[in-house]
Amino acid sequence: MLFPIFVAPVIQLILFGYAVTTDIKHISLAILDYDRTHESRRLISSFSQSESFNLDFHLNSYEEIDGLLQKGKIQAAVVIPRKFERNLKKGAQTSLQVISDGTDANSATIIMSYISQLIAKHSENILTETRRKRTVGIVISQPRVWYNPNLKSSVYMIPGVICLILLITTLLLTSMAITKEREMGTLEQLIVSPIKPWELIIGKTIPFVLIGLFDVVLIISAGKLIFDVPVRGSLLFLFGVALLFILTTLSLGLFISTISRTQQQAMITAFFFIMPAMLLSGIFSPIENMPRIIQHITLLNPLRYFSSAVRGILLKGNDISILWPQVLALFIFGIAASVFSSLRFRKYLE
Amino acid sequence: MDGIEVKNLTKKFGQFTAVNRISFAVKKGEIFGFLGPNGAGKSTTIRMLCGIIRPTSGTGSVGGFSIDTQPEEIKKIIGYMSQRFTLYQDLTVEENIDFYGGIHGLSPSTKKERGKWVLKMAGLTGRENSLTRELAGGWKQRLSLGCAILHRPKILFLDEPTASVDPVSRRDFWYLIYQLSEEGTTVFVTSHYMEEVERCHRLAILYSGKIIAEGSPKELKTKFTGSEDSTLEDVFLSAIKKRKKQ
Amino acid sequence: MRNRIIPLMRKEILHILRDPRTLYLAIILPIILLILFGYAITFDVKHIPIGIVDQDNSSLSRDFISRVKGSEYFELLYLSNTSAGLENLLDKGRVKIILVIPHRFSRDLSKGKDTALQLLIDGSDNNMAQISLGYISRIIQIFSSNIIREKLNKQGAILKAGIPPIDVKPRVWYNPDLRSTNFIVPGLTAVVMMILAAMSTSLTIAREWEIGTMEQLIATPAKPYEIIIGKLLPYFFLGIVQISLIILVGTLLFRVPLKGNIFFLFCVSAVFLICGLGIGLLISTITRSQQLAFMLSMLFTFLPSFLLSGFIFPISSMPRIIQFFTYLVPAKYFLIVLRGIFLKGTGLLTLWPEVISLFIFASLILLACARRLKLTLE
Repeated sequence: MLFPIFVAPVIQLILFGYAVTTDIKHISLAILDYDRTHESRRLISSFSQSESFNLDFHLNSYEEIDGLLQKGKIQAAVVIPRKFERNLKKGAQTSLQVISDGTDANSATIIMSYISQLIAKHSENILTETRRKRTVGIVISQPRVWYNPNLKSSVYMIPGVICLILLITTLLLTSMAITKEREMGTLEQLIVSPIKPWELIIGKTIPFVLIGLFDVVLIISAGKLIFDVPVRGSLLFLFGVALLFILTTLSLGLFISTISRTQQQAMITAFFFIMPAMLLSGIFSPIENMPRIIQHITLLNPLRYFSSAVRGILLKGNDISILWPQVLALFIFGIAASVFSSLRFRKYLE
Repeated sequence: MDGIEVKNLTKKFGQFTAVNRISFAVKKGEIFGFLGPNGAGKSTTIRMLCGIIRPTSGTGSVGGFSIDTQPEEIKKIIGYMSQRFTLYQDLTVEENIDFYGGIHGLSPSTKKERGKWVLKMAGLTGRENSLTRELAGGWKQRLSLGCAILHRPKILFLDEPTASVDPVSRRDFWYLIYQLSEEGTTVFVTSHYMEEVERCHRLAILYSGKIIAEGSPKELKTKFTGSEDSTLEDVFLSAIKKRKKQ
Repeated sequence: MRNRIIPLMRKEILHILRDPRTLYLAIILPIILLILFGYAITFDVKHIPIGIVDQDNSSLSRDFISRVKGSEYFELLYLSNTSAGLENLLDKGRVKIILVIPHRFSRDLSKGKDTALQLLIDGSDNNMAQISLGYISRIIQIFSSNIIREKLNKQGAILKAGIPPIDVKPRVWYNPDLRSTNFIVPGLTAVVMMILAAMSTSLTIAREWEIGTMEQLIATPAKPYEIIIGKLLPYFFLGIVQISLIILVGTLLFRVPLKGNIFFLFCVSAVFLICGLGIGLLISTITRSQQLAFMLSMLFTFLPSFLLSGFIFPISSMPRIIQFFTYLVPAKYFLIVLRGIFLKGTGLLTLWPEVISLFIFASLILLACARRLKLTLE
């Protein structure tokens, strides 16, 4: 019992927290310099000085790129053409070829954008130098990043992960525990006793509510300690929202136990709910990018509301004035789910 | 040698001694009972004899084979009906029979023939396609026994075979056991039902891992309570009292 | 000696058929995941909501704004002349990035002075933030250099120290349309197989222990290895069905290319399946409780395969320690092989390190199982 309540959530948090990262670092790069001039070497040193890139290979021929990309030794290759420096000095445009491994489309896009940025910066530097000789102004961008100044992906992911772990823990524990009692026959003994059905339901589920809330505290603390996730909003509010969410998951667990004869069935069914809920929650990939129909489907996913609420509270310090839609949705879900499954469970008991 | 012989058999689980130097012998065709409260070591003993677990020390032979060095040979000649008379609930009657027949390596024709016999014995002819889950306790019990004797084992081990079964079914069950015994099958039964063990030819009383009494029901009654009309319960209580005095 | 594996296998198949939920896990779940990942999950970032505050209101600033509007990456949701109510927009999450054009924008530029655009970015989704930064930087850069060029042309200058921008010509190999489906679908095989092989296996064995039928089996002449093979073989076949399904649906419905050798694909899948089945078996020797077996297999097979294998999240971006751990995840190697065969058309010559690693994993796991089984049965 201890394991799923204490250890498992923390392990999950660490796994998710460290692994789930959309930061792109240590991009292994190869450069093919056909020019070999002062300017080309300047460009190369821009790359090697950058923290995002690992300049792993200096190539001699174009054919080498194929093998390296295929083996996955590099993620991108930059080809500096001949006459690079000459063109620059002449004022003619010069083109750099950037070849990226498109198998990981997401990373490829980001890598491209990093490379673009680096080259833009490099261009800007060149501009700055020569500008002193001319009277031309350039546009500089001054970015200020809110909520997550270091653009750490853990800051974005962890709040969502907290929600996910809560879902997994409460759903699995509830559905399996109650089903186990069914399997063992101990549930029948309770039915025969003078306990009223609703007393039975509450008695069976209260422990899991407490466990759920405890896990919320555990994971948020762990998140703060290990990953530096800020807690900018009201914790009390967070608990309230978490409570509503737990109500929904517990009810779902109760429901699953009424349609499962064995623990194995319960687990598989719970898993079936968890997977789509996880993927369509906006935790891993933004809902705004999904096709319209699917976006509408996500409206039925309590995890969606819970994760955006948690994110809002932790990262932006949002309160109920901003998050009332999510709270309302969770409230409706919670009430509906608990009423529905309680009725079903009562019917089963009789 | 189609019986069971056990000398100083011991099983320890870490610090806990479940079975403590027990010795007894069962003749061919005998129905031998192991009586004792829960936790006395009955199931552990039976498991050792069936080759499910290894003894810590002591020797035992089942059907002439050593339980320490020849468990595989033992498994071929015994039948085992475990405590929860474990049939596969989600399989049909026929499928369960088919499975156990296959496991014991029966040829297809033998399997069919014995299968029919088991169905008849269990009274399940015509219900081959019922899910085992749907059978009442008494039927499950007989089916479980049937599956345990499909391969005509020489020695039959029954661990609490009539737990949670109605008295009528229990009586029918024991009728079958007597038949098997008359045909020469040695039967080793554990139980904590006093009146049930009464039906055995001989029995041993197990308490805290030790045998505190052994003999036929009549012998034990005379020895411990002085009267042949007492119940085994009286015997049991008297034996324990004696034990505690020692 | 009659074959005892066949009745054991038949029994297991009956179990699976009688409890269709395992079949759902094996077949329906992959289809659901395929659909979700194929259609719903996309990490492509487009239509980023942006708000612009134009304090300059000149033709130049409007020119810039139209460039932003014209980009497919941004969706201009708010345009205003004052910065009132700015912060609220970001807080509410209505826009992800706010651009502020200062009121001296065109004046400064025409005088030849630098001018600074303020960008306020919602960093909570760092992925989107990074990408937005990149896109906006490019737009600014292009705008910037166009101005310069016009200016310089007006000045009639042929630049000695020319400063045209360095143009970037991107070429994307293996997946020119940058479809994340191509990336995800092959990887899904690994995840789906792990779920089936490890979770189901550990469950089914733990189940027999909990119910008591395992003991019954041990008392029969059936040898332990026969019991195990009989139990695992049906799941192995289900795994093969899975990959066939993914190949079919992936190539036909999602048009994922399959450039490499299919037979090779099946062979490596078989090795991976053995790894998964072995892990499930190992877990079942650690605990006889179904609940614990499930939790353990979730934590140590499903989650690592999903998170640490490079399925969605790039390993190179993880902290060094975690990267070290990924070497212990069989799915990581399998994924490289999968993507290689599907998208790059590579074969044994290139992929032999990963194939050998999978073999080593399978052997080690089976050895561990054998040892543990010996122990637990005594």
